[in-house]
Amino acid sequence: MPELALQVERYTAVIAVGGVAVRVNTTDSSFLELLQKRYSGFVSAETTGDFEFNVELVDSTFAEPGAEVSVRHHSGLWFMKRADFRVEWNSATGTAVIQQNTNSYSMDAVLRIVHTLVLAKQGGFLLHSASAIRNGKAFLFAGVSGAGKTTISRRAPADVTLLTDEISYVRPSDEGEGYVAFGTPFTGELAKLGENTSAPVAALYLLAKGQENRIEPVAVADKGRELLANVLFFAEDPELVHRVFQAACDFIHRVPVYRLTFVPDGRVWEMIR
Amino acid sequence: MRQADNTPAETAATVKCDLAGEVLRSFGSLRFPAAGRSMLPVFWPEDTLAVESVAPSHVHIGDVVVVGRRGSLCAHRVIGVEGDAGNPRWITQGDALPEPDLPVFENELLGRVAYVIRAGKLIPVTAESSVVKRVTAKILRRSVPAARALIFMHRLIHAGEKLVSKDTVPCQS
Repeated sequence: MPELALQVERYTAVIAVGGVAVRVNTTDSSFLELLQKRYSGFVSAETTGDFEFNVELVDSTFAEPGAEVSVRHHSGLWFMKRADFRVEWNSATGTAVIQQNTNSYSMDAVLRIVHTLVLAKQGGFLLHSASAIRNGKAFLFAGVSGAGKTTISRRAPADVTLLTDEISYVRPSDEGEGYVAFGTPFTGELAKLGENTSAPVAALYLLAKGQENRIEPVAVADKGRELLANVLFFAEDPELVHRVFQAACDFIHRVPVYRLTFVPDGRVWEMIR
Repeated sequence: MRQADNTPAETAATVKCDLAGEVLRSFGSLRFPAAGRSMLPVFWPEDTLAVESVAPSHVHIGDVVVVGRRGSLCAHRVIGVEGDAGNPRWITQGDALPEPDLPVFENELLGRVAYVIRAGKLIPVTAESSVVKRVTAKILRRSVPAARALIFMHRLIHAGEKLVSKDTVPCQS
């Protein structure tokens, strides 16, 4: 009796952020197009990745709508869950199975979570901040929603390369002396992808809107508290939390941190060089 | 690129101390591992201290308070109060130390130790110590080797009963 083999077409895109490549496999060509459009500039020409994500598109709900994301480690696997996705990721083999609804937001959330875990092991972190390169140096602008990340990104002059208006990617430099910021496709209100490039971090500015432009020093304790308040980390894992804490402390030890009070117009960039 | 005079460890300690204060102010309670021998025999290394926030007006002589100062947390007993109600300064001292600490100002006072958690048991921390503990503390004030020997014996007795935390918060002196 002849065997019946069902040929299922598989579509692939490699999304590389911070030099970490994730190969996403799907059987849905329109979803692939969605990803390629969403992550344009970060879709690599490579055919292999550091991690392999197999996406199953489903029309299910995995948690209560509005429930916070859950990220747990158990028996060598990472389990991530939110209302719109469920992930099992074997970080040792690098393979994940993702069940998600057909949208790019779910994949965006999964990528952010995975990068926080990868970065935590490398001594880095994702930071709720805008970042940009000027004169070969990267500057980070951290703050909660409304602090001015979008404004400062929007007002950047032509010689500034925007890395992100929302989520910065920070990792220790290979030389071990400082930190490097990478461009990310994780956007905020500006809805503009960052440039896929990197530069050594020259300073972190803690944003505050005010009546004048000024840069002030910040006490060590305030640096730590405000940096940690803006670090993205989702996993309930004491060891990794400890690593992120140590990374944040090392960062404020090595990188100048200032309070940047600014009037919401372009003149603030005269102080950022 | 390095921008601060303090070491990475000092930076981390300062941030931890600040966060501890914020946790206490925000949530009213905090647990942290004890270290050092200044409060023997009430606290032992590897005990966990359960700290509660406390209004300055509710701090009394005999309470063991947590003080955040120069990047470290320290739990010592209140042995006196100076100043007035508007600007109090507490005098604290480790039970096993011969001298009191520098006066504690209101902004350094983080909370009061309510319990010590040892081998899974919750032990209330009271203003009054037992006679045995008072006598032991008196001996320890005069002899560091005695304190070391006591800790060694304590560890032998409780070996296997405890989870040893490597992430201790240092206590001054």
